[in-house]
Amino acid sequence: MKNRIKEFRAKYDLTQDDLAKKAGVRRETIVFLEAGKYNPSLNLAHDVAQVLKTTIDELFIF
Amino acid sequence: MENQKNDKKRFLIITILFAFLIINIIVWGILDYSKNHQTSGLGGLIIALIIAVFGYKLLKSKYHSLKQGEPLKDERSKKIETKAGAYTFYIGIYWLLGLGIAIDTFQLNIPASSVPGMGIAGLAIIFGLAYWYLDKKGE
Repeated sequence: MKNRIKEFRAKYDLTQDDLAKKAGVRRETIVFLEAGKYNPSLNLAHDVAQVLKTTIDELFIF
Repeated sequence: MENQKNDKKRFLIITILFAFLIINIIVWGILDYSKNHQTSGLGGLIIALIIAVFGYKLLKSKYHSLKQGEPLKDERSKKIETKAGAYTFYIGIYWLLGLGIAIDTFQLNIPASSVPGMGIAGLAIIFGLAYWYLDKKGE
């Protein structure tokens, strides 16, 4: 699934490590998520969207 | 904070169990080889080496995660574990069937007591490979 995580991360000047810590996941999960190689659960999508101060709809391209 | 403490405990337990497993296989391999001079003992040592390499890499990455303050397990790693378990089940059936057929067909000189160990070691290797494959693939 395509997403705009990298774009939002850059907007808030967050590294993958920072985002992983704030979302409570491992860094690899963010790496694969960003690359569109991993489809997150609704919970994780919500957590990441919250950290990036946006909504799931804005963050993920369905 | 509580999660971090639990992760440290979990890591310590995994490391101890891993060390026991490796020592056990090596001792078993050496004793079996010195007693019977059979290749099954050497096979055990080779399996121990493969497990040691995989395990070392896994423990190293987990240790790195712990130091960084990351959780040992998260949603993705749990999903991978579940999927790797499912793969192991499906492939393991054929591995055990193939092992049985190979022993009968080629009249392999393997002591009956070693067969369950070989079966379990095979399943462990299949699980390790499946985990590695799924981890590289993404999910």
